[in-house]
Amino acid sequence: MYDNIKISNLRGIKELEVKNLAQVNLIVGNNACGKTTFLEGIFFLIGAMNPMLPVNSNIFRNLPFASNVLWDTYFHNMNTNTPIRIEGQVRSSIEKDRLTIRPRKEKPHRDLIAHSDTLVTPAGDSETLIKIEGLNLEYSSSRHPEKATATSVYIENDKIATEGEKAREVRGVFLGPATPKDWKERFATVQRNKKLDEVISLLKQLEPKTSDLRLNEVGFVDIDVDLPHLIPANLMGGGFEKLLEVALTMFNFQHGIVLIDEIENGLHHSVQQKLWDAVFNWANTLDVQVFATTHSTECIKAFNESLKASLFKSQAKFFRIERKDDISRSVEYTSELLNESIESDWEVR
Amino acid sequence: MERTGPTKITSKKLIAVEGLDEKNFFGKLLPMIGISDFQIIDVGGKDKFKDKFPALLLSPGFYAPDRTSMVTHVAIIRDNDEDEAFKSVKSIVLKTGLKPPEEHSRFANGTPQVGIYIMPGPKIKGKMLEDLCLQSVQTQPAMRCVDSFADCISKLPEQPKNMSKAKVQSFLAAQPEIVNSLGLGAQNSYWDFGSTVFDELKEFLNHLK
Repeated sequence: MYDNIKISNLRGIKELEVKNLAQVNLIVGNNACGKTTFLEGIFFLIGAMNPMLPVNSNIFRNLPFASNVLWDTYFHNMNTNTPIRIEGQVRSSIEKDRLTIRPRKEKPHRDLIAHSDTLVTPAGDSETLIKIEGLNLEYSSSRHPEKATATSVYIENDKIATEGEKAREVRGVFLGPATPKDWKERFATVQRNKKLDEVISLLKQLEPKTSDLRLNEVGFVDIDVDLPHLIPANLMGGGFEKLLEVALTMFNFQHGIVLIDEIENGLHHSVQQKLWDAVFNWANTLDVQVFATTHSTECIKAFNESLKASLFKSQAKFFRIERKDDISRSVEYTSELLNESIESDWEVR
Repeated sequence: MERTGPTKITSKKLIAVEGLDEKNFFGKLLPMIGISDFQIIDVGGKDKFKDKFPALLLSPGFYAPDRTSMVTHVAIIRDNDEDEAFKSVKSIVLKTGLKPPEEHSRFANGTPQVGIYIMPGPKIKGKMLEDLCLQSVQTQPAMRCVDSFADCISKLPEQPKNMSKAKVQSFLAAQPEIVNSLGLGAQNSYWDFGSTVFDELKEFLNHLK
């Protein structure tokens, strides 16, 4: 878990530091201000031993294909000369986790090296012959300075390949509108930890007849809503699916980080406060740090209402990311300042 | 249909006032003295400045992403119904990191320039905007009725808690078209904006030009 996150040269973010992070953080901002990129940066940092994360992240962004033309897009203004740096200050300490991402360049042809590194075109501009074929990820932590690691992801023979991947406990997860749902494993964990009742209790807010959840033979979650037979949870609508997904995920990432892009997606406003009530409660009891984004005023109001009624006011923050040209900043609202703004009906997004 | 939604900062010149009456009052006065590009922010009561002012500074449009102020002027106007009202507002401004003026009815030389005006102004007897408005119409015939009514009710066993507000209501009740608030009275030009009693306030507001 982190108190501060600093990101430079990642996609739309040239430099951004978000300080004084809380247990639950709601992030807003205009389109293309860098909200999702901020979550993505944290995602890369917490999974830094896994070089596939940048590729997975593109899948979450609806870029589900591997191509050498995409490697540049991770870098701000596609400038691969400046590395991506992501730094997280660990909660209540001076320790820092750091990730540096550099382009992985293909080895130039030996004959060409003998002559020149570059060719001059007839038009007079020069173009490097060295192409980018992947990313190199260098992770270090001041907690374990002796264990800096380097991993790579690249394309070889039209397939994604990785090097240096290390087994490591999973520390967090990214949930977005396009992320695949991992019901099977997450459900099993919740069932094993005897927490299904808490999940059912949340789902009852949406469908009061919910009485049971079961994992079916093909790995989907079935729900008992007082019909003669169980029905797949996916058929209960986007809101139901969202609640179930968030619930199962939080119970699976105890002491970890859960990143939720567009948390309001699929949820009717009347249910959003119930979701926040549950998120605050579980973030506290399960020790999960939550980062969520939204564009929705209703979602922000639900966050505020839930916060007002909760015991965890000091453990939640609201941030707006602003960006103009290459300059980004985060604007921090304590729960009190957010409430004052919402009471006055002042724009906070 | 006009699109409604949360209030956004849309002007470089903000006037933070106590409530709706003040919003309507200044909404009428400012254009009359040639100030057109402004935005009046209602903080919802004099006791709210302490909590609302820091929140206002966080609103989108106050500071640019490079932390330069997009707002050039902030005028804070409130009633004098407590001891050391100026000192209290000055302290609120200081806590936000902005530079407050050293004197009443002045603007500080900061970015943005912050000005503080405590109603009704040092030269006017009373403690609130109501007193200033009543002074502006003191010579009007209706005020004789208002004063007479005020004199009468001041002898009641249980008097109005705020005589200035009672007088404003009775003055408004004496108008051809009755309105029920000081602000709407201002919108209807029932207060004499040409009166010299507004001179000091106008001088303060002229900084917003």
